[in-house]
Amino acid sequence: MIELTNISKTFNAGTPQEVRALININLNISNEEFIVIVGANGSGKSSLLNAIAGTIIPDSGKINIEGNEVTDWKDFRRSKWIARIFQDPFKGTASELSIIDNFRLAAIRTKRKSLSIGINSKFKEMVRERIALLGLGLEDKLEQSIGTLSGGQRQALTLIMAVMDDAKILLLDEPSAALDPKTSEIIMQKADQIIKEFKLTSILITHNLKDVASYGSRVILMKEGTIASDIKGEERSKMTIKDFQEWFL
Amino acid sequence: MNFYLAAVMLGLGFVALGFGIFISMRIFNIPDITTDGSYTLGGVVSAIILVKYNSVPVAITASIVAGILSGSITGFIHTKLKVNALLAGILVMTALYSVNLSLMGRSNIPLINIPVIYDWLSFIGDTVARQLSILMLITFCLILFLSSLLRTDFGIAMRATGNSEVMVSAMGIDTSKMKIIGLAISNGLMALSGSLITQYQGFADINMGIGIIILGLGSVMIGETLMSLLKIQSISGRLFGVIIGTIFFRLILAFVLSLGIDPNLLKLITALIVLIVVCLPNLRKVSN
Ligand SMILES: Nc1ncnc2c1ncn2[C@@H]1O[C@H](COP(=O)(O)OP(=O)(O)OP(=O)(O)O)[C@@H](O)[C@H]1O
Ligand SMILES: [Mg+2]
Repeated sequence: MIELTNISKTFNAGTPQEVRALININLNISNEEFIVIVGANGSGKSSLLNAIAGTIIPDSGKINIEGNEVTDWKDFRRSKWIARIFQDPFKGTASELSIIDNFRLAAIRTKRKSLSIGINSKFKEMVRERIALLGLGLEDKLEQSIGTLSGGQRQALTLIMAVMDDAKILLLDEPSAALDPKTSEIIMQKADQIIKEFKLTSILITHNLKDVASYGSRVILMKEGTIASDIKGEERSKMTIKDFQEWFL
Repeated sequence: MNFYLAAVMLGLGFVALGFGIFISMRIFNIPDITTDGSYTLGGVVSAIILVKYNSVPVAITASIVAGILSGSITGFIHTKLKVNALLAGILVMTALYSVNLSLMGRSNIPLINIPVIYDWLSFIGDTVARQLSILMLITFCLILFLSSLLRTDFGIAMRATGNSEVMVSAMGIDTSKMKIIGLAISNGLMALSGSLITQYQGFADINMGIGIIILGLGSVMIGETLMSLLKIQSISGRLFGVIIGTIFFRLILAFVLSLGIDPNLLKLITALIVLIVVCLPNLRKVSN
C-alpha cells in the first residue's frame, strides 16, 4: 500500500540551523493498517507524514503508493488517495467559504474541478444527512461560512469531508490537540469509526497516550528522525498504557 | 451632457477593472499591481486595431487576450519563479510601459471618426442613451459571467485558493496553476476596461493607467464596505457591490471636481478617498 525506502530529509542543509528531520526511514504499511505514531517534539513525526502526503519532498529515498512511484509527485496529485486532517482546524477548511462550498471541494477531491455548478439540491440534501449524523446541529447552517464555527466543530466536519470522495489513506496529524478533552474524545471516536467503516489505511500522530493505547493496530515510536520502535500484531494488542508511558521515561 | 451622468458612465466603464481587482485582491488575496500596465495595454491594443482594421470585436478580443497574457506572465513569475507577488506585478507593469510605448510608436493615439463600440445599437438615436445602454449591457454580461463562474466547482476552487492553500492542495488542486489562471482572468478584465474607456474618451494614452489601481481598489473597498453593512455575503451580491462601489467612487470624484478643485489634484484626492475608505472600519472600532 505505502512503501518508504531509505527516506531522508534535512532542512536548512549546510547552515547552522541544519536539522536532520528524517534519517534513512524504511517503512511498509499494508492495506487497512492503522498506525499510531508517537515521539517527542521535533522527532520527525509530522515530517514523515508530510513526506507521504507530498508537502515535503525527501532529499533521497523512494516512496511508493498503491504500486505507483510517487517520490516526485506534488501533494495535490497524491490527493487522489490521501485525505488529511491537520492539527490546526483552520488548515483543513477554507474559512471564508460556506460549509457547503467546503464540502463540495471535498466531494470532488479526486476529480476534475469542472466549469459546471455542482451544488444542487440533491448534493445539499446528501451533505445535510451526513452532517446530521454528527449530532452537532450543523446541518441547518450549510450556507454559513465555516470560519464562524469553533475548532471542534470544524474538525468534526473535516472528518466527514475526508470521506466525501474516494479515499484510501487518511493522515491525521494531532487532530484533537487543539480541542477540549471531551470534544477531543468525540473526534477520536468519530475518526476511528470512519476509518473502520471506510476501510482506510491510516496514520495518526498523537501525544495523548490514552489514544495510543485505545486506537490503531500498530504503533511506531520516533526518535530524532528515526524509527526507534515499531510494534504490531499480537505484541501490540498486549501493550497497555503503562508500557507506552515507559517509552517516555 | 450632465456632469454626473458622465461620471456614472465612466464608472460603468471601470466596472471590469473593479471586477479584475476584486478577483486578484479579494478572491485570490494576491496584491497584483500589473493593473496600471494591463489596463493601458488594453487601451493601446484596441486603439491600434481600431485605427488599422476598424473592427470593434477584434479590438476588444485582442485587448482581453493581451491582458490575459500579461496576467499569466505575472502569475508565472510569482508562482513558478517564486518572486514576491508585489514585485512580480511591478516588474510586468514596468515592462508593459515599454511594450505599450513601442506598440503605439508615440504617446497617444486618437480615435477620430472611427466607429467604436458605442456606435452599436444605432436604433437608439440619442447618443447618451445609447452609450449608457451599451455600458449597462456589458456590465450585466460581466456580472452574469463572473457570478456563474465563481459558483461552479472550478470557481469554488478559485475562491478556496486565496483562502487556505494547505486545504486546497489537499483537495487535489494545483494552487500555482489556479493563481496563474486567476491573474489571467483578472488582468483580462482590466484590459477590457482599458479598451472600453479608450473607446469612450476617444483616445489611448501611454499614461492613462497611472494610479488606476487605486481607483479600482477604492471602488472594490467601497462596495465591500457597503455590502458588509447590508450583511450581503453571496458572490453575486459582492460582485454587485463592486459595481455600486465603482459608480459611487466616480460620483464622489465628480462632486469634488464640481467644487472647483484643480483637476491636477485629482490623483491626490483619489488617494485620500481610498485612505478614508480603508481606515473607516478601523476608526469605527477605535471609537467603540
Ligand atoms: N519546514 C521546515 N523547515 C525547517 N525545519 C523544519 C521544517 N519542518 C520541520 N522542521 C524541523 O524538523 C524537525 C522535525 O520536525 P517535525 O515537525 O517533523 O517534528 P514532530 O515530531 O512533528 O514534532 P511535534 O511533536 O512538535 O509536532 C524539527 O527539528 C523541526 O524544527
Ligand atoms: Mg508535528
